[in-house]
Amino acid sequence: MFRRIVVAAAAAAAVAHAADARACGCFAMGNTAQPVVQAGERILFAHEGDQVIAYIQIKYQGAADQFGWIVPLPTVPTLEVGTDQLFTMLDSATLPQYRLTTNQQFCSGGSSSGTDVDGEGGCGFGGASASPNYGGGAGSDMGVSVSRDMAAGGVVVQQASIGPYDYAVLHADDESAMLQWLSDNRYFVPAGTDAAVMPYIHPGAYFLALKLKKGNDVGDLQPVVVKYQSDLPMIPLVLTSVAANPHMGIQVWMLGDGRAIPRNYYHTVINDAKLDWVNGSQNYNDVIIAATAEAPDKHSFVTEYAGTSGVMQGQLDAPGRFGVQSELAASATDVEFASYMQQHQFPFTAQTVAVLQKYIPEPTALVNDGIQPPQFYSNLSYWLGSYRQQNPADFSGWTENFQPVMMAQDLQDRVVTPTLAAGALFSQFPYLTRLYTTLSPEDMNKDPVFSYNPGLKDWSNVHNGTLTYHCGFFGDRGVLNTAATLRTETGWVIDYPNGTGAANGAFTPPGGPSSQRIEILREEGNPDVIVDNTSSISNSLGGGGCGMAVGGRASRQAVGFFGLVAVLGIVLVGRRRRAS
Amino acid sequence: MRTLLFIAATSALIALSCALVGCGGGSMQPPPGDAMLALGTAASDGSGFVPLGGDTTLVPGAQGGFHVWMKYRIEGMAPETVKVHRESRRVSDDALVLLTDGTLDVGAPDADGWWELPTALPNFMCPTPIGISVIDQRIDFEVTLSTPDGTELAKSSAEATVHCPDGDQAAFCTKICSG
Repeated sequence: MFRRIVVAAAAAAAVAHAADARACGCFAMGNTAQPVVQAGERILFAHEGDQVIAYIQIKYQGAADQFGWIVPLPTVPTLEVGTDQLFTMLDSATLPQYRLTTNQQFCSGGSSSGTDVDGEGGCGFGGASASPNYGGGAGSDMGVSVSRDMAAGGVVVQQASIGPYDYAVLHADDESAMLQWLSDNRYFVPAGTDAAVMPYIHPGAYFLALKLKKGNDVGDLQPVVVKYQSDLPMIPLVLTSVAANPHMGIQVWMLGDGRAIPRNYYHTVINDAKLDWVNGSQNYNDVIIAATAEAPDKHSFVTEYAGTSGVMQGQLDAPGRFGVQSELAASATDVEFASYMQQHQFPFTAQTVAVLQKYIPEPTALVNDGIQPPQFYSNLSYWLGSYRQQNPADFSGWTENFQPVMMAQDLQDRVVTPTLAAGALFSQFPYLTRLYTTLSPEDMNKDPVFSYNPGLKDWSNVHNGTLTYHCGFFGDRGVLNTAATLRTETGWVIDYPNGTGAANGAFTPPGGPSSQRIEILREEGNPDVIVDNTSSISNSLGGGGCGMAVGGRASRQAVGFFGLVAVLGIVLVGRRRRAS
Repeated sequence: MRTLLFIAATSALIALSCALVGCGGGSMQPPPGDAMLALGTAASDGSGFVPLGGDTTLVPGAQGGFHVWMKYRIEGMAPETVKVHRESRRVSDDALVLLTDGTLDVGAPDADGWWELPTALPNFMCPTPIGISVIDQRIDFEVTLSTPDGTELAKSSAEATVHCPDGDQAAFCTKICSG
């Protein structure tokens, strides 16, 4: 009996060691980590004919009457309102994901097979799981806010209203005249803008200025769609620097026929050994900050996704979505109206809530109970239906202005049309690229311009690593203290001899550079690699070739393990000899 | 004798090819199709038509970049929407400065048989790609017109040496046009 146990253990040990990173033992899926980067600027560009189409999500924190937004443009633009849902869905569809598959060798329960998700399985422990939230900068997009006094001037090309905004297109031939006009017309411009706008002041140039219409507040802010003639899309970061935060995230999606590139910024491929794979790559944004800072002038973008735009097709404009405006307008009651909206997948975004609030205010009693507007309006049929019947006191003195025709029209203008138009882009353009960087105001001294190189390869947003725990014979010591080996997607191998220590707090990334490569992407040809840190990363991980241990405990454990097997083998041979 | 005949035949073929598809950097060349495309530039305000060539000054654009005004004159083409492929390369080393695709609505020709792009097009130059300066460099501007299915209708190229403007914009131009 003893002999059989030893032989089985030795055989299993040999197999396990040889297949170090494969799915031997308990196979656990479960660590799908999606770093959530809250970028300060989020823009979708497409290029149609000679026109650039820019969907810009405007973020602003402050008083509504101090909101102002200006952007330089090469031609008189056309302006439309967009939808927040575009960015929500784009973000979701192309979000970088760092998936960690965990394997266990000789953990309690033996080498059983199966799938263990988030640690709830037969192996005692599984992979850690996290959905981190990275706080990026919260600056305003491509523009600025706040106040300043200036005198008036006559520079207006166009002045109108759209959605929640009043806007003006101004000649930008003369800086002082333009700024004076903005001031006189209560378009606020922050201190320091004078210098920042100078590069954009030319004869024949234009500025688009936005402010919130009277009666609208910051919650009414809606993405804008700007169309203008230009060969290439550009972000006026020099102007943005006036109101930017340190390490402000800049998220750009580009639609086109092929992969998009930063034309005058470098391109960085991050060193994925720097990521905290075990804890859901929560330090993703820190790695991006460090990696892009290694590029000359800190001017570099990371590609987060490059591939088919099919990942977005039908997401915003699914057949039958929104129903028919006239049907919605014919709703006899508020509950019927709300039910129709729910049945036809209206998004309960800030824009939808803003429209509904005008006609159906949330009862004070519910506000006092802490029911937030999105909670109320996303389930309006419940609150106005069964809840109201059961709690009539909450609706005491409450009145609404139920105008189904006007409400349906407002929703059509503010929600339906912009959403369907955005959705149609993904059928029109076959390829989608997602680029990201972070920049601090002092480094926003060059406006990034984007172009295309259809010859470049796709870039997946999904990255896979494996974590193999080495439990040994004597039972596991818990997920935090069990030796483990991480193999990143790139192939770097990092040992955690004392366990991953996930709950112990701070992750200490290995030394070495945060960028694996710094490249120049051009409109044709392969990437021009200007810095290749492969050797440096390998050295920093303690070994040549494909990288090595942090602390080396796993290696020592393997030696000890084989030593133990050898000793047991000797004992076994001794017993057999004595027996014979 | 046979060698001389071969050289003469080859020369004739080259000359014929040049006549058909265009060689060198003239501003008006016989296109491969029936249509004729001539490349021009404009005054600093975008007006007029001047054959593209010689020296040209970069024009500041509203978004903080610099461009060369580009105009087209087209002969022998019915009014239609065509695809436009533009490439700009530095002559000294063939480095790509701009590659872009778009569309063009070609209008009805005038009494002389030519249609002219009504408004000059800003041909993007700066910010230039990393490491590629265009300042005082000879740039080859090539434009190809084709049908939506890709059949080439006309092609033309012209070379010009581009310079930064003097005055307030000189330093900024140098900064963003020097790669």
